[in-house]
Amino acid sequence: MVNDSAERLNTVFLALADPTRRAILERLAHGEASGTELARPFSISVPAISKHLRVLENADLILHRKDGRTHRFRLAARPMKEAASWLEQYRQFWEAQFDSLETYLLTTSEEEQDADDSSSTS
Amino acid sequence: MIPPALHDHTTLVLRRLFTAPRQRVFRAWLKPEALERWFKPRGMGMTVSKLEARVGGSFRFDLANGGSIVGTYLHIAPPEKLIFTWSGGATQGWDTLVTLDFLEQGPVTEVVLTHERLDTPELRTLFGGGWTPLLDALAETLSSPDLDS
Repeated sequence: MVNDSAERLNTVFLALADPTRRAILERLAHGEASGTELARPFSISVPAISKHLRVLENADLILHRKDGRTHRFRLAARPMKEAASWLEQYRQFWEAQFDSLETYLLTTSEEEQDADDSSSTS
Repeated sequence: MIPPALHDHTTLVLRRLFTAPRQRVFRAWLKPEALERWFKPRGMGMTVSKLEARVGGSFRFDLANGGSIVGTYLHIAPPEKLIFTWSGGATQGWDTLVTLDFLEQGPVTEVVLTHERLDTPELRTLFGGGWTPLLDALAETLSSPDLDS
């Protein structure tokens, strides 16, 4: 499960690694747009922008729908939320350790803990 | 839900109260026998194969799945403060930094854990420092409800 989500994050981060793709996302943050509209500010061809859009779509960062003969793209919320919760994995890890430490401190008497201490050589 | 620490993707701060004297809570982090009893990364058992409880000393926790966590103690001030580097599978071998502050509050002890430098070199290379503003901007946009349909 941890690996799955790490892998998903990797896909998202790789898709975000390109400045053009980041600019596309920023544009889409303001609302839906067609491929032609998205290509305009970048002075690159529509096929080139389509390639970027495919990468973003494969990472589930954007969604598209057909409007007549044009494809219109918009942001998909969920993967960005996962990327933003990058710290969440670490939070869960440490919360689990705290839970476990709490149990240890409550279930181990001071004498037992002293024994743990004295048997240590360091 | 957007996590509260959104504006900083590289540092995690956690606090927890323990019903035990500060000295006991502190010792639980530095004694191999104690660590082996409570420290369970992802629920796995682990073996403390090395623990040099001195500044500049290192530790190595070998996990049941073959992985390991290694680090170096940078600061040891019983029973108040413990600082060590932390490197393992989840950090992709990159040294992160963990600071533990033990605060006495009458009969209970508050532990403040600060885990820093969580931006691995891989992530830094990918984003060249430009990723945090982007994630912030997007997350802000995404907090509008109509996007999640």
